[in-house]
Amino acid sequence: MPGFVHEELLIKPLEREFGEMGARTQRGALVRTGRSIGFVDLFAEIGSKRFVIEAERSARRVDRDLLKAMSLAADELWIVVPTGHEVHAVDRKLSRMGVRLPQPGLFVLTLGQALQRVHRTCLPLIAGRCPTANQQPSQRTEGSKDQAAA
Amino acid sequence: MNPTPQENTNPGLATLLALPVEPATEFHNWRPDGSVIAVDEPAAQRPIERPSVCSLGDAELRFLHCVVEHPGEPSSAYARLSGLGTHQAIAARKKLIAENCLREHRVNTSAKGRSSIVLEPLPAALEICGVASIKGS
Repeated sequence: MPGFVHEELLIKPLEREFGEMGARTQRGALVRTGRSIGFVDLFAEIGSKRFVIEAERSARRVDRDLLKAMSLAADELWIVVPTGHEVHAVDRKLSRMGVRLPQPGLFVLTLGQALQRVHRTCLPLIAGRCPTANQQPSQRTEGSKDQAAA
Repeated sequence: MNPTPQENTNPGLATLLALPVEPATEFHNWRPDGSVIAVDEPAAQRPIERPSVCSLGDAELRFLHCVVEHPGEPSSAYARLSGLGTHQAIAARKKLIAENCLREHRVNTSAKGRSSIVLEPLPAALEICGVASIKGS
């Protein structure tokens, strides 16, 4: 099946995870880089934060990924690869391009790390959008009592 | 016979031209600009190498059905799903890969630890299981 690793193994679980976190997701979002038109594998937006997720099986197209993320004014670009072997390959390619990791807003992750990062990144954003979301039930009750008293 | 202008400029050319020509079919579409057109049969016309159902045992068929119904799971999950022992499941997986029914990929599905072997059902597997396309795609 063409694109099985790319579509089914790497992008689909991330799309589902972002969706569960309440993010607006779009597969194959259109992006214009200079004169050419391309697509990003997954675009996710939660609140005002924009994520571009590109699944790669090698370091070949990393430069285009950076351009696409910049064109979409993304806050974070995640390059998701199957294994740690490809993480190192992408890291080396970025170094050759003069981009040294860690770099703010740029992450090279395996699928497991990316899924973990969805939680780590989205939960504070959800909490920020809905201040009572990460409070304990007892705290909420106290807060509501205070509000009622006020 | 007068020599051609080419022979005048390059005396060794006549010797080269006299050599027998063996056409290399892989370079039929070669272009001087460096681009190459891949010659490939359309996927629809290319015959799929199918193992006969008879060549697969009961355990292999059970394993195959599980992969087609739940594609993209780590290979250890299929042993449990198909009710096979670990060794039986490994043997079934290897046979199905050798028969071109499955393809394995290594993917780190968790943040730590070794990469998992994830199985992809190939067209031959879908045909054996009587499924048009894999679930969820």
